[in-house]
Amino acid sequence: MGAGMEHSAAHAMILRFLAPVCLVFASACGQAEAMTSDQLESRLNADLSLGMAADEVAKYLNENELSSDGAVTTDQLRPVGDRPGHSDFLAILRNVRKGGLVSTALQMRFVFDEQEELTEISVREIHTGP
Amino acid sequence: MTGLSEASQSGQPAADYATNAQTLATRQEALSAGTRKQPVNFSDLSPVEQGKTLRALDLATGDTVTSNQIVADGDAPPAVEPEVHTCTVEVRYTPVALGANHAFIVTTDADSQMYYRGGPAANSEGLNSPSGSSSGSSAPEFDPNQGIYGSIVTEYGEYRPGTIDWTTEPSGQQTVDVSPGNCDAVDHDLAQAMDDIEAAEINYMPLHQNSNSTVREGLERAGFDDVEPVVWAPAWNTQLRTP
Repeated sequence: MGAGMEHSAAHAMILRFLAPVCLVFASACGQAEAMTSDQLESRLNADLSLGMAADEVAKYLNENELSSDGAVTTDQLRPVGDRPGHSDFLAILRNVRKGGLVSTALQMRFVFDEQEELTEISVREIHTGP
Repeated sequence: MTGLSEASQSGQPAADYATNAQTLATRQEALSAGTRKQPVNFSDLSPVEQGKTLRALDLATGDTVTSNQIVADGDAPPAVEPEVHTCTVEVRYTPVALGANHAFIVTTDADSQMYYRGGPAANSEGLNSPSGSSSGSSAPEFDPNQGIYGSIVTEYGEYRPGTIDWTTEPSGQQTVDVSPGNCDAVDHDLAQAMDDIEAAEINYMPLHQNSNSTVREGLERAGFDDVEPVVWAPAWNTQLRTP
């Protein structure tokens, strides 16, 4: 038990010292062929049309594997605070780029009107690190 | 991160989505729409959930009489099921790389679940999203002088699928506080802390001042001192230069 704990502590110490070194190498390597927010937004605008039903948008996202959080459903629709009668749901693609300890996700937002018909698509990047 | 007033003054079109103002307004809407959680039978809860419920009940009643009676009755639900409303503050973690974790805060009450987090304005390629690298519409522009990651940008809002830190399998999770009532006061303090941290334009450095520093700072500003992470969260104890 004691030896195990010592080993675990030593392992953690080594990781802490190695992390900055690995970070430099990982950053230098980078990643190729990463999707950008503009590319994804263009694709969505090409494949989807305003007026499309919310369940059709959800179906498109699921069939094209454009959600890293599992299936998108219309149950995820939430009221849009400053736009009465409107609702939205989110979808996210994680790890579209990764450099060192920081990864980038593309978050999509779809806004629908009172009839649950698509009125707006937007995409943005969000970065996550320790 | 924008405050509510900044968001409303920004004049940004609807494309600036998921603003904090919207999210908080949505939360109010949910409140008025009566989307409260339905009470469940005590006996249907897991042992851990039963423990949390009993603790919350003690906090709400100010003593242990009722909870002791429930325990004495075994699995039998109380004769009159109390409707206990509590605010739970948690820190959750997602793995990043090399054993390091990213921390974020989740608050949960009867009406909503909110998250609070920080992150870099850009990735290691020096790229960012000028249209909004945070939920706020007035996020600071990426400044190459601040390094390849830019400054720390914060974000908060309703915690739901599609939000950046959404996960059902966190690499770590700890309850910081359970208190009676709703999370309004805590949410206000955390939101203010996130706004202040972003406004300070603090250089993001993965192992020195980062999302974990942001979470620890936010917790302290909300009155939760001396919280220690349950997994390796580098730079947790870094003091950020906030106003």
